[in-house]
Amino acid sequence: MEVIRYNEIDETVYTETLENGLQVLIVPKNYNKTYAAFVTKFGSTINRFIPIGSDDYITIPLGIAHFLEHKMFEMKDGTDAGNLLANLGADANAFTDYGQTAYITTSTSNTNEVLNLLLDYVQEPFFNDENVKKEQGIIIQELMMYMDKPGSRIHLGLLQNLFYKNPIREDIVGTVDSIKSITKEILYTCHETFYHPSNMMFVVVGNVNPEEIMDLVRNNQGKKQFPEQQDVVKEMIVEDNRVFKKTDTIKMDIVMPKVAVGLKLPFKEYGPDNLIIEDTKIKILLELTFGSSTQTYQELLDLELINTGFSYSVYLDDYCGYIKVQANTFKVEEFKEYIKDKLLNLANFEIDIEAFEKIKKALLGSFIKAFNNLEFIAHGIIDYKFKNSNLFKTIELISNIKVEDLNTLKEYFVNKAITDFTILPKA
Amino acid sequence: MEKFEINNIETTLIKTNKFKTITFFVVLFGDFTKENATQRNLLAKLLQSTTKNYPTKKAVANKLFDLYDANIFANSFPMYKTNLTVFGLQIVNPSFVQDDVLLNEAISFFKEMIFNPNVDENGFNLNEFNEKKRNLRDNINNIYNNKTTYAFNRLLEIMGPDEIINVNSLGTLEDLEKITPESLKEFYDNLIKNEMAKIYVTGDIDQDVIIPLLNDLNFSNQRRELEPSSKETYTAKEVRQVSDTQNINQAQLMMGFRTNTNALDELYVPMAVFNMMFGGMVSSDLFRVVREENSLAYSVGSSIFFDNRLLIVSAGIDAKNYELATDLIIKELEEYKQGKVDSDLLQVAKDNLNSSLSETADDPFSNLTFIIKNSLLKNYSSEDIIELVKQVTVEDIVKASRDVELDVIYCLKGEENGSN
Repeated sequence: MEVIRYNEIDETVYTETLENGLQVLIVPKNYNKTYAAFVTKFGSTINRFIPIGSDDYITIPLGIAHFLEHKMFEMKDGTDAGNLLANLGADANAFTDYGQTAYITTSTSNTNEVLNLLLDYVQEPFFNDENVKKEQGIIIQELMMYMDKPGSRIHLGLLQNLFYKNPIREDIVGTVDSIKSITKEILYTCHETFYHPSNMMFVVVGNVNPEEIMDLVRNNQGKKQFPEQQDVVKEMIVEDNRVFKKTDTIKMDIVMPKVAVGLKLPFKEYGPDNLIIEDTKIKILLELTFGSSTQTYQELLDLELINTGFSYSVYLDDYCGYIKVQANTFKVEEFKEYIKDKLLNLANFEIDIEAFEKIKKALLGSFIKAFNNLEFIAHGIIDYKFKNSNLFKTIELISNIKVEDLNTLKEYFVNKAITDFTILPKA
Repeated sequence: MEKFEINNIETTLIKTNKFKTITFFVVLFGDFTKENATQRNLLAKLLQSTTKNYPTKKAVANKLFDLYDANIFANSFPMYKTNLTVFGLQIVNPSFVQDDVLLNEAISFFKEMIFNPNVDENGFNLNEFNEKKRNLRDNINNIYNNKTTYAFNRLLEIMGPDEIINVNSLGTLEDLEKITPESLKEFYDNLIKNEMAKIYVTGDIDQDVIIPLLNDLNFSNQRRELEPSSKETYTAKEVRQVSDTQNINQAQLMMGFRTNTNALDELYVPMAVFNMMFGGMVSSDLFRVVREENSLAYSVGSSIFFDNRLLIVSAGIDAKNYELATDLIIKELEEYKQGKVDSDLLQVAKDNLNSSLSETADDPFSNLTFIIKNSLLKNYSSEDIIELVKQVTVEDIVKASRDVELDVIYCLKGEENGSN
């Protein structure tokens, strides 16, 4: 077990990669609770891969990673892992996003039993025709819930405009048809391939003794048999930065229009740390362009181009990325034109060094503050690892970004990469 | 927990080194009424937006960046007929950034927000006032877009149109139009002059550092009688069923129950445990019956509102399952009333409730909020409640369930399903 001390943020990390390939990271904290996440690199954007022990690619229905997440809770003896964890006083949860599925427990007592159960239920699938069928009804209601949420619809609509074939443009939950086409056989195949320990991470943050927990994980994993470790071969789709559709509009039963403008980022292969650095650079640039410290923001308010819900964000992973600027507004066309204009002007910007340094200072502070939150630490460790970086080195990464480093971003702001999506009230 | 006075203001310090931050709350306690709800909300928005010496959002944002992204806020929320205005400041503990002036600078800015609003001889700065007014109007209108919130508000409106439960802390369009920059300035002056103030601090900081920082806080700080929880009694009446239609995919089912239990009553803790068993956790009866056994919903659960003596069940369902879902929910409650209580589930509910109580201490905001709310009630600590939870028996649960009476069933349905 390796012990790494990070003085700048006053945290210590205990880490080990087990024989079966599972990466384990433990961060002790003097909190009452312990937060654990067991995570596989299997999210909604994987839909073609070569299953373990096979030679041929298979294509799987949309929404399968999420469906699998729901079904993992069912145990062989008919009990439910969520209930068993609740019996131990723990809170159980799970989520699926584009690149991962995470199984989570929060506990303040019986933590050893809770962690053993978390490791066991995620590694012991039990699917049959009946329980698969029953789950379809629940997930279709989940899909209907998102269908009525303007925030979810605008996000999905914008992604469908930005990308032409990357599965990121599909709802994580899938579609009514794809959900209905899922069978127990496909679920077993996905589990066997993507829930191999070498494709997973186990992270524990909170009120624990790291040596004891590492022993617990070693013992738990030592008792189980897995096929030989091999890299998962998956087909990931890479696109150029031309958008699929320039504009689109839908109608919903709402009172104020909701508009999003998106900019597709070009595909790049990033070395260690570089994806995180790139992401941080874009965040700084967006803050300097649209943040509450800018004249632009005040102008948007003065011209009444934004009402509520103004936000700007960047998403970046190994295969794709985009910038999203959105608001609720009655001046739909003016808002779109204003934001597009600002984005295109970023092809040629000058940055005020003083403003730049202030934003770096704020990023630093907000990063340190986030360490109050065990969920942030656990998922930060995982996300940074998946992006080939190290959460605990972020202070150093932020400090090293220089104003001239932002110049490389200029080439991203081109017309063919821009799209918009609008939700109008139904008349 | 240390208690002391600063300038006659009761101050509570929870000293701990577990956080990376230092958090300060200055809380004003006053009355929450239909007449002042909108003013309170608009005022909080204005106070946290700009100040006299930092009259633009740009100036405020730059100041906060300079303070390592300090959080500074004013918000206002009710407990029954009592209103809490919370001024908050959270900064990084200066030891992480080796900055000797951070604490003093942040506190000065915090006082600036509370005592030096962006006003002139005509009241609040007109541009800021109009901007925040427009923003609040949009927020009120946008409730319609969030179907769950919309259905929840409609339920409360039907349950008690003239009760305080029907007063939304967001405010109303009608009241908003009556507010002027002058009237709001007057409201602010009264608030500072007449409401009772208390200070709360948590982080790695000592009493002797805090006192000189805050000893010029100036509130007249009048002690007053507060009404933080309802004492109104409810006698069961005929259940009312109301539905509306909108163009939506999923129906929002809301069931409003009345109780005669508030946080000062004997049944307080048993009622909290009952709510967990009934619909307050994933292994609850409602989750099991409505979601797992009958696949009727993805989201279903119950919440308890002690200050207003309400228990609300909500579920997102297909409108054609309305009868089945409501029957199942009512039947589950009846089982309890007839004394059928699963003692294993009782233990699970107690453990889960205690676990979340013990977690409140792990977050500075939730910990301070918990302590502030309880200071208006029986002054329980989370440890006190944890002990009381452990003592809850099957008989207590039956008693609590018999105090829950269905009042209104409300359903917001999709148009094509409207006839079902």
